[in-house]
Amino acid sequence: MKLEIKNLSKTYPNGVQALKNVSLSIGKGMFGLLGQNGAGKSTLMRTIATLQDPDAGEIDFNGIDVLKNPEELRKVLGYLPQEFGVYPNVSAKELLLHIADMKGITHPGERKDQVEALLQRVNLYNVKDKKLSGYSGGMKQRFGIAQALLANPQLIIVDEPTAGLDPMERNRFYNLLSELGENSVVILSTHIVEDVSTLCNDMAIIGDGEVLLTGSPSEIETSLNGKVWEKQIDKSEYIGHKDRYKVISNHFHLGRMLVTVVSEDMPDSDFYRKSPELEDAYFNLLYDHQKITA
Amino acid sequence: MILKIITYELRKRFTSWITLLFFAMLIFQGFWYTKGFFDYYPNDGLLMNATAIGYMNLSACGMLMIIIVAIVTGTALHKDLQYGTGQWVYALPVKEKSFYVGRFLSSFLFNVLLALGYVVGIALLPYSGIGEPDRFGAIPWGQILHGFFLLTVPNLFLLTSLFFVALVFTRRLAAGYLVVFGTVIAFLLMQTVSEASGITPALAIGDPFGYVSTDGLTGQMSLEERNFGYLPFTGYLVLNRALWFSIAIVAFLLSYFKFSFKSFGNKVGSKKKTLKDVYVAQTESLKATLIPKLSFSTGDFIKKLWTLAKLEFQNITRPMSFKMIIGIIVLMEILQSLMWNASFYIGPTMPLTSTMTLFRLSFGVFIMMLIIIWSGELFFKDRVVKISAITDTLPVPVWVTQFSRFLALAGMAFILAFSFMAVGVIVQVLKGGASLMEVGLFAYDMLGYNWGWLTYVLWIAVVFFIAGLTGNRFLTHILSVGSFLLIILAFELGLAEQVIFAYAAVPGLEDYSEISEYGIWYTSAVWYFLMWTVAAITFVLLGIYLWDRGAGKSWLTKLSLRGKQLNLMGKVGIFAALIAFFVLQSFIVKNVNKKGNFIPSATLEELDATYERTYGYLAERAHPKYAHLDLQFNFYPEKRKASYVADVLLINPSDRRIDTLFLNTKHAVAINSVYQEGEMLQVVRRDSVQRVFGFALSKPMFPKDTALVKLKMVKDYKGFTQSGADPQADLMANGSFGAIAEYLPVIGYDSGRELDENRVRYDQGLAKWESRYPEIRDTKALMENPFAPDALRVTGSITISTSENQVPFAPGRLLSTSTKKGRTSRTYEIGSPTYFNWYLGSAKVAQKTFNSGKTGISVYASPKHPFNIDLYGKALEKGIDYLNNAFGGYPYEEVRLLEIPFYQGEFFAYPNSIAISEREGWYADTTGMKERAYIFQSTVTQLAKHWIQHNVNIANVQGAEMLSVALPESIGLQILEKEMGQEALEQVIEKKRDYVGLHQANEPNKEPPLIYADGADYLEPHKGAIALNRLQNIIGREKYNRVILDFIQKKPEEQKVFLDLYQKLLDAVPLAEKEKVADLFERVNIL
Repeated sequence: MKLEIKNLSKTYPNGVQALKNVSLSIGKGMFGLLGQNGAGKSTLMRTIATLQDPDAGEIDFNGIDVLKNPEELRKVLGYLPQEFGVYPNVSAKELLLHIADMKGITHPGERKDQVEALLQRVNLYNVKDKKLSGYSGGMKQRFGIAQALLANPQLIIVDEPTAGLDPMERNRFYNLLSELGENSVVILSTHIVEDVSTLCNDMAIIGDGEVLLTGSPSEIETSLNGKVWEKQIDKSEYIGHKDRYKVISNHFHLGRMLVTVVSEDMPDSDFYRKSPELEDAYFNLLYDHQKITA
Repeated sequence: MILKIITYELRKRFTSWITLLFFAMLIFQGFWYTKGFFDYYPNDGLLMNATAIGYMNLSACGMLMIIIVAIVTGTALHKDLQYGTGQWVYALPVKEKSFYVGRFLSSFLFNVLLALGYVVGIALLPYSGIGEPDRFGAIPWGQILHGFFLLTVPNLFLLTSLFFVALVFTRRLAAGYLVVFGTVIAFLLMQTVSEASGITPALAIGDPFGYVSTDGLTGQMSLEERNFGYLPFTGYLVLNRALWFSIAIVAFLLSYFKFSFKSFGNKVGSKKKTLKDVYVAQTESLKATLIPKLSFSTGDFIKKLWTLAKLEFQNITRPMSFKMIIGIIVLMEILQSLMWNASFYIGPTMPLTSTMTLFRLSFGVFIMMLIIIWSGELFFKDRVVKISAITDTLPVPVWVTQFSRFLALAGMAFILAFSFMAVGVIVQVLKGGASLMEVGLFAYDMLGYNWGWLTYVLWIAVVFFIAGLTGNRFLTHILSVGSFLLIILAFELGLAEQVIFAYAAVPGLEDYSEISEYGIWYTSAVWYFLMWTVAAITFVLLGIYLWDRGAGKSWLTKLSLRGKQLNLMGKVGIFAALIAFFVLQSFIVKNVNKKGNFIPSATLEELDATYERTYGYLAERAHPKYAHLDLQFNFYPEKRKASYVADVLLINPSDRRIDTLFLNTKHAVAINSVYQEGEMLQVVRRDSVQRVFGFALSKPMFPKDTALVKLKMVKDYKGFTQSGADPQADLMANGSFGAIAEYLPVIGYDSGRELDENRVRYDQGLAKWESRYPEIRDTKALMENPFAPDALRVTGSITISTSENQVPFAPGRLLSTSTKKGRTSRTYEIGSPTYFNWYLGSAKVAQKTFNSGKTGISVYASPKHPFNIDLYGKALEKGIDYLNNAFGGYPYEEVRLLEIPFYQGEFFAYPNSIAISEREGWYADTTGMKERAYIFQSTVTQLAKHWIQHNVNIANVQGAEMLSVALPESIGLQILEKEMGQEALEQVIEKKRDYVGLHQANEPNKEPPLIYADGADYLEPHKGAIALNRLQNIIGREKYNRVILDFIQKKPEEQKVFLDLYQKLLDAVPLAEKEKVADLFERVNIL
């Protein structure tokens, strides 16, 4: 079970080059696609999900030429888009039964069983007969997850799935996804680094439409072993540090600014070594990429 | 704050290219509408940029302006909901009422500034190249701006206020669109009704745009005022403006007080309580549940198509809004069916099915627009609720998802059409018309393609196509509604007249006759419907093919033949349907146009002008005239054919020798052979285009010579026709009725083909006419009669046959009737010389007889219309009695009254016969005196025409119809007064006055004084009759009648002129009243 993406490119009519020669090979399990807003993640997701045509390139899933035979891919696809709506005047159960029917579950009994099981799993069973117009943002997101999982998809694409979920639901969703990753290819597109590091066994970082890095989260993390330094500074010192060092990120802790710097050696005596995290590798990569493109 | 908002909004809008486009569209509308209104007023002296036209334009607003107003008005307020900007804009430190007023005024001012495009278009028409320079006066800037501020600006204020109040209360743009379109429908309804029935106070005040009252005021203007005058701000217009401005103010105030950031800023539907989210621990693994069997066979997709269609159908019909809209429409239908008069001129009618099905036409535009908008909404439903990102990735082909919506919409349209039909049935029963019900007609009109359910489906297919083409909901609405309105308007304004350009329309849908039903249009409609059906199939297939699944595709990708949304069969289907469309179109063009069944008016005018130019010389030459006719005539109604042999005695009344017999035939007539004294004549001139044939006489006709000529002829309509001027009513499956000249040739020069509107004559390069009749001193015309200049008074016999189940009618005394070999034959004899204004007919009829002295009366009416036969019979009895007593005797011992289809005209009086259109009383509800009086007077008038025709040799000059029409009308009024009293007389006179008011303003040439009356519909039968009645009242009835009798009886062999009768009548008028009478007859005035 493998998704192969080769030399995918897409330029929008307004001139924005959303994908630049993107190539990826994604096997069974959870695959994280990390990138900033506007990096091209959603374009890539929509293209894989047959909603958009690229200008060039190929996509193959288990022998299905996705661009030539999108209808074949749709038979094995589960897709949760970044933004979606629902029909207001129907219940969750009605709509899921309808989608299940569309997904090819022709037997009414099987359809009912699976819909009810999924409603249980996404914690919507108790409100299954209520109209979707009354659902909160989180409930709608769970509904979206349920529909994506209908009909045992072999390729699951989830685009920013945890937006709008509270921490508890987010955990439940993580569990659900990991379970699915055992038997299918799951692509998780997100800009939340933690989601990828928690769940994915393989990942890619995308920026300005290009694949900047691929590998496992742990590999990417360890690539910076011994090179990540952190220091607490006064806010007024930030500009000076930025000029002198490779400051890949900064954040506040207890009212003081913490800067993270990548360097082969200790930048100065006030810095202390930090065990690298995926986030550091991600920021480091973006820093390098911005320097190159600048 | 308000000023800042207005400045910001206007600056933003006026820097957008779409504003420029809208402005350009309105300039175009200025050109378009001005040309349309100019054509609407046929008066020759009217300038194309007459101020009256400008006022009419500015009050009508125009469809493009209304669509643009609908598009732009609401966005100023709704955009904060649409784009979610209200979340922060409404949190800014602004006063919400000031904010609202700012947004309202910016919308209103934007509309006003945009509408200046319309003003520019109206003003700049002289420079557009439409019309010659002498058609224009100086640009009337003052009057245009006067009309703009008096009519357009208040109308825009009204539309803006109504839109905003709907938006504020519902927070939905759709409500705003509905209110605007509802207002337009109200305007259209009042405009249409006022055109049909005249301007009533209710219509003039109730019309939201003030168009009807403006029409009324411009109608009363002289030509000079129409060209250059200012519209007087008086009468109903004041009340109209006051009423609708008040309504606009109330709407604005309601919205002003209702608007608040809190209520308006909440999302639509957010009043609903959000469900409580309860967490329930789950332990079950998902894996166990994910083992369904999947199937994607074609059979599955077909099942899905059905289940999806059901689901979508429920989605449309479930919401309360749908039920409310249906309820409102049904209520409108009930009101209309209870109150509508099929023929306004006669008044209320019996509860016939054909009057019940009229609803689909009178509200047709409104219903169709609703269906079009619903369709657009459903096709884009997934995108609107943003679920398309999910549904587009489902393994279901586009044809299943989209076509299921098409089916659901077709189902919804069926529910609508069926509801209208059911309501029609119920109302008909409630009005006591159960026994008159024609279920087949209900089904044909309401559920078929005669602007019924199938027409709705055809338009849904268009929306389907436009949705696929544009991939944009907003554009789909605009293009769909726009193309629909464009077609309607193009036909309303006369810019298009061939049904082949009116998508989904079929010929004859407005022309149902109770006698002939839809006649030939049944056949036409089938072919047109087939053509539109294959067009619709193409639209549906293209809609599937072009539909954007997922993100929008480039045009190159969309149009690529390699697209996979349709399989090979589908793609071949598109081409096959397209080919079928063009094949059917060619077939229709061949049958309708190429076979000469329909000629567009411009071509016809050109053809007639060419005839006049080419054959005008014939008018100066001597020709023989009909003097006696023995006719063997056979109708074949089912085949729309007649074959006949005419033995004609011709006479040369001139003092010149005649060598050639020139014959003019009508369309579909063929002269098989012409014999003179047994010798076949040779054709020396053959013009098949103008249908003029010259035959060399075997023996020349010297002055006063006679010749016996035998004509073997056939009239046979091939193919079919479309709606328009000529319904081919002289040969129909039932109810054929035609003038003798429709079958037999006109000899010499056919003056009936001359163009009689001066503007058209000018356009065709012909000299304008001073009068439609020859001048009073035209010596040649003085010797002719106005009924048939190619005939003297004629005697003859007619043996006429038709199908067994019909009765053949002809002029003259009925000699015999027989039925054999499936044919019914009758022989008629015209013993004493009569005018050659004969008519032939054939119809299924029921007969009832009456008697008046020595005159036998037979009334022949459609078996479906027994309602008023006795009324007609009694009118004939009393009319004959009166003529016998007061005018020396009714000329015939036998008279037949026929009910005929409405196509040919209203009233016909010819030897021993009267024919009255079905719409002039046969199915009128005669409970009221007004209707009874109208039927009585119009019937006895025909008897008086018989008396005049029998006794007076009328000269074919100005005033001829004062003798042949106005005088009988005045006698008819006399009889009415005697039999039914003063009140009945006044009611009929009031009807006649209304008719004059409605039509006098549209005089195409120059209205003559009555002594020179020249045959306009509003003149002799209405204005002339009223004037003669007033004159009779001045000099007294007995004296009036005596003067008429003296005039007629003195030298009866002489050709009479109305002016001479008038002089005699004037002599009898007291001196004090002479000037008043002279005003009536010698000058042009408004009654």
